[in-house]
Amino acid sequence: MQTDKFITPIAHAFSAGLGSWGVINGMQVVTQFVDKDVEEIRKELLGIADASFLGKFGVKGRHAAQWLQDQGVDIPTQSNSWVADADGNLVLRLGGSEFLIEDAPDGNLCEKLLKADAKRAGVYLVPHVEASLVLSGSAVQELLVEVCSIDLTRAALGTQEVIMTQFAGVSVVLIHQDLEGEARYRVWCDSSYGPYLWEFMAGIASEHSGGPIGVGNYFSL
Amino acid sequence: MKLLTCPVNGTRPLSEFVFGGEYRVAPPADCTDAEWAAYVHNRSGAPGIKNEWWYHAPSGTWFIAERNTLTDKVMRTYLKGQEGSK
Amino acid sequence: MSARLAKQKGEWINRSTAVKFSFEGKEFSGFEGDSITSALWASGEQVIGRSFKYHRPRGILSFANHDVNIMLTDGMDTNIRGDVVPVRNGMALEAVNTDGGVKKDKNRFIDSISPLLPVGFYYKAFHTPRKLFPFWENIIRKAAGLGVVNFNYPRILKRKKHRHCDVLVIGAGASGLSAAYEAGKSGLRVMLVDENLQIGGSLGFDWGGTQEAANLLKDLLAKVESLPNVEVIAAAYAAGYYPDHLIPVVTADGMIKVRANAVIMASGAFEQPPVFRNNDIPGVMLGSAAQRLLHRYSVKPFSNGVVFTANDYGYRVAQDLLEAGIKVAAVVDLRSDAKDGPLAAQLARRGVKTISGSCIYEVQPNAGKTGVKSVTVAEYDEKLNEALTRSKVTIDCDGVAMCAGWAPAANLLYQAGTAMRYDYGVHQFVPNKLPAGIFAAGRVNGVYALEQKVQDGARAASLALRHIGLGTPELSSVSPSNTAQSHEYPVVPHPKGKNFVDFDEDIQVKDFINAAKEGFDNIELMKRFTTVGMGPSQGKHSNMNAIRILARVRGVPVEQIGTTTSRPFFHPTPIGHLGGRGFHPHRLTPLHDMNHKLGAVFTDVGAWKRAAYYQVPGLSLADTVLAEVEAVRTKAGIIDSSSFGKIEVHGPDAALFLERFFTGSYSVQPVGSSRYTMLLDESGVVIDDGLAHRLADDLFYLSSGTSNAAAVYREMQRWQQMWQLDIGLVNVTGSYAAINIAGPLARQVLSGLVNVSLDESAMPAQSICEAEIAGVPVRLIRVVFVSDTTYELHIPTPQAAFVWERVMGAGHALGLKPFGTDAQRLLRLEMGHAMPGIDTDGLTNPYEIGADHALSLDKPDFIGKRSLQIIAKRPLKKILVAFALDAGYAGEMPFECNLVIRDGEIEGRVTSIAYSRTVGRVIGFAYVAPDHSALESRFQIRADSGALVSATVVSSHFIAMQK
Repeated sequence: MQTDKFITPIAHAFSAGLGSWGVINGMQVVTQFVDKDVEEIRKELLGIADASFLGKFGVKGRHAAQWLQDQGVDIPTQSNSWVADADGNLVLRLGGSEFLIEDAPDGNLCEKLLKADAKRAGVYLVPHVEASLVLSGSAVQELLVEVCSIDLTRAALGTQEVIMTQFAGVSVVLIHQDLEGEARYRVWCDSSYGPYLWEFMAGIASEHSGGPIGVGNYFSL
Repeated sequence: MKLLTCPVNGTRPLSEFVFGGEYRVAPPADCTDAEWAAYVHNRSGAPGIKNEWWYHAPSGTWFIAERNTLTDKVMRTYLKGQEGSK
Repeated sequence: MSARLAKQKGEWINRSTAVKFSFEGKEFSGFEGDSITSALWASGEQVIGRSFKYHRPRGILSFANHDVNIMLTDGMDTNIRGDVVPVRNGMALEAVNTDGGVKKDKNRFIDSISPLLPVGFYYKAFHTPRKLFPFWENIIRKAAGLGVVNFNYPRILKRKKHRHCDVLVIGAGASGLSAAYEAGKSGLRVMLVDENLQIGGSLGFDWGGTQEAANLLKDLLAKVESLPNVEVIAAAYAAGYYPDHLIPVVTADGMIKVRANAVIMASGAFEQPPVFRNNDIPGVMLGSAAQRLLHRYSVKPFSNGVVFTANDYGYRVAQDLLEAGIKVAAVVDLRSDAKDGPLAAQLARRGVKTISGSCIYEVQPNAGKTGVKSVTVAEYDEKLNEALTRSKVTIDCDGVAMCAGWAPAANLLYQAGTAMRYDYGVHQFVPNKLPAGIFAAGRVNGVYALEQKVQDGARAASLALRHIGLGTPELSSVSPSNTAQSHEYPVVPHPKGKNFVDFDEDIQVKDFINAAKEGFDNIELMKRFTTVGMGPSQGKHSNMNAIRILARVRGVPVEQIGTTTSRPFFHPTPIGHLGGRGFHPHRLTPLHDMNHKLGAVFTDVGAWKRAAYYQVPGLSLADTVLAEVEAVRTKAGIIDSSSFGKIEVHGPDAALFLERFFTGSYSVQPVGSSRYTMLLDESGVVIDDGLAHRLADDLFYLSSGTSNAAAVYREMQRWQQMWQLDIGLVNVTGSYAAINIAGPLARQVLSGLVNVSLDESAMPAQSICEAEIAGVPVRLIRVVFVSDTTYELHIPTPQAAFVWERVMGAGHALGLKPFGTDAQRLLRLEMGHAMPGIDTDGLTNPYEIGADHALSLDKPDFIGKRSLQIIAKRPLKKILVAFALDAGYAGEMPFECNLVIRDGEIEGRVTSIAYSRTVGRVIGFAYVAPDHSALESRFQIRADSGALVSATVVSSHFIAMQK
């Protein structure tokens, strides 16, 4: 593992000489874990990928919603819900007055917002360096029922709902996204819990003949 | 495991919450020392309806739960300052 | 001699696949689908286990997952229940509770000395002389267990899953299937759980000589299968009830925690044995056990049996036996009016005589007590509950089917808080008041007739749907059976005893009478004295009879006796299921791998893994730590402090928030400076401390220790909810890594890396600035925690490893060494910093640790201020002082928590102590009386051995004592 400036928070889980490393978006990540065709099979069954390289931006405060709208960002109107803009950038409303924005792989909304002047009362920047994960596959519920005690079946989730809950004892933010004809769960957790949660979930995924896959299986990079 | 309803995030298992003790109002600062000491040190353990602080850890939400400590039934939960809204 | 019947409809066995296995060294063969017991019974083996206490030969009793006398070992696995566990090819089975095999068990002599071993004898017999107790204890402990734990058992991961449904139905018999179907018709998610390998409950075996039950089963199964929203989980038991309808369902490979909106308990009833002498001889079994053998496995329970009944069920059993070609020598009915009823008449037409108003007085076993030779039948006086032995007759037979009644499988109902009542119509406990969302149906509800069970299931389903909020019409209630399904006292006394009530623990009628005589006449006391219901079946076949006997002994109605408390788990569950895949969440710093490469040994600090020290080959732990300290004192050290709590307070009211939250003053704190923060609780107790760095008028950056960080942030959020100030709180603990570079060469290490001046004038102690290292933005802070010259870098987490390597590279030539939390604790001690949580406890106020300087009492208010005003009026009781042991002290080392002793009285205690090579002394903090806190005061510490060690109060800036 070389040390470039940015490295994924899950790096520790990959340190056993696993997969091939590369740099995406300026961050060192594992781009491929096993042969391409094996990764594809894993993805069908139960794939888990590290998307921590995606740009993130956070803001909270009583005027945060207004400020984002002033910057031309479409925000979800409901508490605990999310929207994706035409470019695929995600805007999550965490509770009522906090927002987490994650760029699409080729997006630069976060960079733009970081440069914008947010300095005013009621608008407070929240740095985001979370571990950001993608889960999918036919057996994904088998994983979810082991790590989470609430009902995360599609039927139980409201449309565009943001869920803040716990996975394997760790606080996470979760959304469900239908993309390219498949159901994906996106999960964010504190970077320091990233390796633990990754190892826990990748272990379960492996038991279901899935496992870690490069994020390129989900996003064209 | 018991369920508790966070006013913002909905019904969740108790493991997602942290108990914050009974919600009590401090006497004014010019109260007598004895009144203040009673506020700080004395708790009523008698079973009945209590207002309690609870914290939904994944979202960082503090709220009040009105709970009957005899039957362990939660009557309602609400955000502090929004008592009347539900 | 095969007891296997011809192939019949509905049997569970697959005759085309044979299964070969061995039992106690002998080869056997059964069919796929056979249970271990059914395969052995089919092969003529009737002694399959030995009883727990008296080592009596035992065979089938219930055949319903509580035949605990038939427990077997198969290599690794032990306590396998023969009655339900399917037999597999290659099994090499042994009975568990024998010494030398089930046939020649060396402990079988115990049966003949049983009069010497009444219940409770070991409570009384072995406690004196005391010296001998370990000897007896050893023997008793060996006798008291079943099975042998194999410590080489591999760890098999059992999954714990969470599932959710609208209606959970427990038990898939007639009422459960009906309930699941009716609930499922609504389209809601329904789960149907049953402990048997195949669902259907008694419909699958209790035929009563007709096709009615089998036809109903077929119909109900088809209905349930037609609903895709009804999920059937067979071979899984609902193991307990937890609040808000959480039911752990245990399957072979793990546990499913089912959360339901409504629960229907259609759990049925356990058949209860009548109590008479030798009711445990192999071949004597419950009527339902005989039916299970017949209809599930097509095995004859015996070839010429007597049915001993006290209800109508016995006649159904007799019909089933006859249908299978088994001879029924007689039906013996406890009830005096039975002979003239239609059921007896039906049997009479098939040539079976009913002897009513009579009991089996005793069973005559064959020579080795391995089977039944005959039974003695006598009249039974239902008033006196006695056999009238003047009119005995002996009937030759090779087995007995017993039908005396039922006990509701109400364990989960009790756990859920159901109030039960005793119904004198059906003679059974039935639910009286059910908790919200819990419903009961079928036998557990006292409903026995087939059609009524189906109705009762549908009724329970309609109530469950209404509970969920559907406008389902309420169906009319189904009354409990108005004919007694259980006999109120199916107990036959016998002067020679061996009339067993509890087959797990070999408890006889006289044991209850004796226990009551000794004063243990409350059901809970009786249970503990006699151990009734405390065996592996947990009273499933014994509690009801125990209650009836106790009621009779005390002369009170059954409902006044009550029942023992039912607790989860309902059925013994392997510990591996409970363990499952555990959650052990832990946090790693972004420098974890860097630390690991440097030889770090990690320790748990809160949720974090922190480097305790960096292992050096050949160096002891103590020397390793001292070397790390020395590097900081003489050159420079580097520590990963990423786990520190880090919180940003933004907004116009940021300073005001800090003023209210902490004890100090912050409104006039200059931008770019750091100030000490101390947090009290409302009673004035010190909770935490840290630093507040002002980055802008409206932005403070707070840092604090690792272990309290999450709790302090929570408290901030809570107070903010009450204060509603114009601020934004942002927890950035995980967003920034932190590194401390400490020591005389620290500035030199960093000066070439950072883009700002580190001169004392530009970057004095307690200052903060935003800087860059190799293009990475960092927050640079001068702190004094571990040394006078310490720079703390706060780095965005993803770039932390990069910066760490840069600093290590720059420091390499200067002797920069990593140090861990062990060295850090000693370093801060040398610097004279007391730490909340280590040098304070849950009662310590700031005056006691000399923190007066941190209190701005002229502020309008802060948390704990009002209490401090009260505390300040009172004399201090103790005060924290810095101390040193005498130079050159080489005696016993005192430890933290050793007491400070004066004139034989406790004066205080040591809170921190360590040998400091820097100072050349053992130094520490201790509480002493205020009178003895002046510099140079002497006090004594009582070390672990009791030796008193002299100490001197010194200035807390230990480092100034440097040799």
